[in-house]
Formats: sequence, C-alpha cells, structure tokens
Amino acid sequence: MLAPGCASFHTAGMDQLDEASDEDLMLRYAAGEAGAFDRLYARHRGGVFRYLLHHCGRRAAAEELFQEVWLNLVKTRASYLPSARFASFIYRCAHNRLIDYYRSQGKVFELSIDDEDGPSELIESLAADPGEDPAARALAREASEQVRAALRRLPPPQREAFLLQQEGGLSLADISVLTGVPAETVKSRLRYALSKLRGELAELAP
Amino acid sequence: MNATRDPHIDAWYRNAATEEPPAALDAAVLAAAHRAVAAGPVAVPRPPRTPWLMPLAAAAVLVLSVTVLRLTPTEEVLPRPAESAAPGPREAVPSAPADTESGRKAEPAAPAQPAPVLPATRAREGAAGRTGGAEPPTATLAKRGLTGDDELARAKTAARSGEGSLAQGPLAAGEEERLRARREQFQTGADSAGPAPAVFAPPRAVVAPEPAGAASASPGGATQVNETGAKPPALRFEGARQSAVPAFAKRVAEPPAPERSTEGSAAKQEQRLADQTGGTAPRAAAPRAPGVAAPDEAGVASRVPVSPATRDANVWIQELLRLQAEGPETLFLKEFASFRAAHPRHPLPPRLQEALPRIEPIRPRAFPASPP
Repeated sequence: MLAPGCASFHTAGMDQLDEASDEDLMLRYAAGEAGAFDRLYARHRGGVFRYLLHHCGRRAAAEELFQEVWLNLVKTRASYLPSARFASFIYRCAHNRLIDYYRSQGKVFELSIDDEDGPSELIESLAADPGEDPAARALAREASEQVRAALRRLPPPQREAFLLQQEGGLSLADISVLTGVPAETVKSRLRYALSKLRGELAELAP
Repeated sequence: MNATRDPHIDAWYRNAATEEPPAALDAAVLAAAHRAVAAGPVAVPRPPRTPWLMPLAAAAVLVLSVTVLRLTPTEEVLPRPAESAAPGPREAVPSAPADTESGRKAEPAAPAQPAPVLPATRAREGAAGRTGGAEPPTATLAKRGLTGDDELARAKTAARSGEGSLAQGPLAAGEEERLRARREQFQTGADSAGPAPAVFAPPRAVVAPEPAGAASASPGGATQVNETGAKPPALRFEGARQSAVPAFAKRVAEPPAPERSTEGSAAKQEQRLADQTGGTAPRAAAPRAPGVAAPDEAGVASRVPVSPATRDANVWIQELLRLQAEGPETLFLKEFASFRAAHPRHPLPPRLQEALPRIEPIRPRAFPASPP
C-alpha cells in the first residue's frame, strides 16, 4: 500500500515494470532507469519498515534506519550483482543497519515498542476498514495489540527469524545465510517462535 | 503443514502488522534515488591496485623456503648391511701362508674378493686365522683397540665360568673321543643326506685334537708343549650344522633363499679344500705353522669377526649380552654398533636398549640456541 499523497509512485512507465523481477528492476535502476527504483521501493517499503520497527521497537529509530537502508542502496547501485534474491540483499542491509544501531545503543536485540512512542501511536497507525463499526475496530485493535505483545515477548533470535520469514518471505536457507547460523538452527528458532505465538494467541482462535 | 509456517499465525500477523513508513519518508527516499540517477552513472569502485604484491609474496616464499632448508638437519644415511659386512672377515682373517698348498693358492686372492661369506667359509677362515694367518691375533686385537692381555684375561674368565664350548685348556680324553665321534657322525650324515638343514648359527670354537707331532705356537712364536707332553688341543670352528647349537638358535627363522642356495656350494668348496689338504675332516683344524695363535686364545678366535649380514641376530644378541656383562666395554660397543648396522630394526632386550644411546647418540640440532 502506498502512502497517500505520494503520487510519484504512479508514473507512466510503471505498468511496464510490473512483470520484472526485483533483480531486474535493480539492474535497470543501476543502468539509469529511475522508474525501476520506484517499483522496487513500492514492493519492499512496508516489509522493510515493519522489520525494522518490530526489531528496534522505536518508530523514530525505525524511520531513520529505514531511510539509511534505502539511501545506501541508492549509493551502491553500481556495484549490485544479482547473485542472490533482491529481498535477501535488502534485508541483509537492514539487518546490518540494525546491528550497527544496537552497537551504538549498547544493547542487543531489545524490542520495546512502548518505550518511546507508546502503543497508542502504533495502534492509531493501523489501517482499519472504515466501513466497520466501532466495536469491530476495537476488536481488531485488541487483536493487533495481542499479536505485537506476543511478538515482543519472543526471544530476539526467534523474533528475527520470524520477521524475516513473514516480512521478507525468505526461505530457511536465506535466513541461515543472512543471520550466519545453520539452517537447522533457523528451523528450530522458527518452531519455538510459532509454538510460543500459538500459546500467546490462543484466545484469537475462532 | 510446514513445520515452520502456521497459517493461523500468518493470518494473525498480517492482520496486526500493518505499519507503513510515513509519506514524508517515502518522498525523501524517492527524491534521493531520482537525484542520484539524474547525477549520472556512478563509477564502480575498484580495489586498489597492488602491483608489488605478487613479487613480494614470491620473494617471501623463496626466503622462507631457503631458511627452512638451511635450518633443517640432514639425516645421515646408514650403510646397507651388505655393503658394510662384506670386507670385514677378509680383512681380519687372512689365509695362512704356510698352511697348505691350497692355503698358499688362496692367499693372494683373498684381499681382492669381497664375496659373501658363508658360515662354513667363516669357520674355515676362523681356523686359518687362528692357526696360520699372516696377521697374528695380536694385530687383530690392535685393530679392535684391545691388547692381548685383555683378551687373555677374558678367555680365562670364560674358562673359569665353564661357558659352553668355549672352554679353554686341554680336555679330558673322554671328551675328545666324544667330540671326534660327533664330528664323524655329522660328516657321514651330511654326506649321505646331502646338504643339512640350513640352520644358521655363528661359528663356535670347539677343541679339536691335534695330530701327533704337531706343535702349538704362542703368540710370540714360541712352541708350547704342556706338562704331559701332549699337545694342547687346537681350536676349530664348526658351522651351522654343529649339534651343539643352542636351542634358541635353532628356533630362529631360516635365512633368505639366496644364502641357503649358496650353502651347498660352500660345503663343496670346503670338501674340495679338505681333499687337497689330505684331511678326512674338512672342518678339522689344519696344522699350525710357527708363529700362529696359541690354543689358549680360544676367546680371541671365537670373536673373529664374521659377516654381519649373515650372522644370526639372536645369537649375536646373546654374545652381545655376554660381552656387555664381561667386557671389555669398547669391544662391546663396537660389536653392538656392528649389530645395529646389520640389524637396525631387530628388537633388543632391555639391557641392550639401555646401551643404545651410547652407540646412537642424539645428534644436536642445527638450530641456533635460543637466548636464555
């Protein structure tokens, strides 16, 4: 979903780039086609932002990291080689930025969304169907808050594996390469994460 | 269902996680991307060129290789047993000059023929060296770095201890008869049954009767006659077929085939020599010429060096143990070194293992000593 007021996403040649892969779009942007970057950004902006937000837990820090990730991609566009999926490349950049951020903060994998912005801001930012009644919107907000709370209580390694799988759509092998741990370890982390989330979100089951 | 995916969790997460970056941030990122494209192509940064890197690496490898080669100690190549063993007996025991006609014929050819020495040949050479060798036993002892007194004292010690067939001095009449009978029995058995089983044993010095009228000679050349007027018994060597070979020597594995094949020709040569001298017993002691070894030097004669390559290791070890216990030490060390050269991998008894560093000292390393 594009942010309202961002009319630059819908350029004239955008439709011609819908069929292109991420890697092709990146190569075309490196070759000088600015529209390719617009399409690429539209595909991954939400996932990268949520990955950063749920990891660092602070919206201002997430926005800063998000901007750094994409500007770094712009700077290094000439040296990009499609040796792997573009998703792996962009989430690796995001992962490295997170590591730098944690080092600068002297923390390791801290996630506390309530620290700075508070839950109200996040909840307000949630998209809700305006056609629903207030009771349904309240239930949706409560469910979203439960999911985020359950996600916060996950250990950082499990949370990272879960976020990379959900937001980036990465496979076990991609997550293994990105995080530097064996694939079996990633699999174990995902199993533990799913098990804990099931226990936490049992109330949401129909 | 995939173990790492849960549709319910996916759905719950998709419904809950709907955060988006703010529009201002999107605009900033896109504007930066468009500005970068409008600025023109970006030169791909190349790694810095280091043309000196390869020559430097090659030079370093070369220097290290030369250093390692210079610091590595070189291993000393041990002589092969066949090479180190061949000329020994010929050099130590020349043939007798005044022995027999055959002895005179064999004398000039002896130094130039480093042929492999067989047990029977060793026995003959030992007897010749004792009785009529051109080089007196004292010269042989001098080559070993010993004196005649040492060997004499050692022979007396062996005689006192009654050691095997190396007993010194005149034997009783019964003993002489028994030895003669055994020798005749052995020869007849060897002639009838062909070559005897090849059980290799070191030559052993036994006392053989002397023919009447013969005189023994002292190391100094003076003829010796004992108190009873009878001649002291002469020493002679008996080869591998001697029945008095210890039991452990008989248990030793048979020698390689080539040596066994030459055993028959050696026996024939020995028989031919006996025919030429007119003796019935080819291994009987030949009459001694003046100036040859005295019969009481049995210990000296028993240690006439034989070919280390054909010498039995176990018997040799027994002699080494005896030599180690009784001395002299220099002779023991020399014999031990010869044994190790001939049998470098033969297992040693503990006593000999203790003496091993004395003949095979640890060589100092060529590395420079580290500062304290």
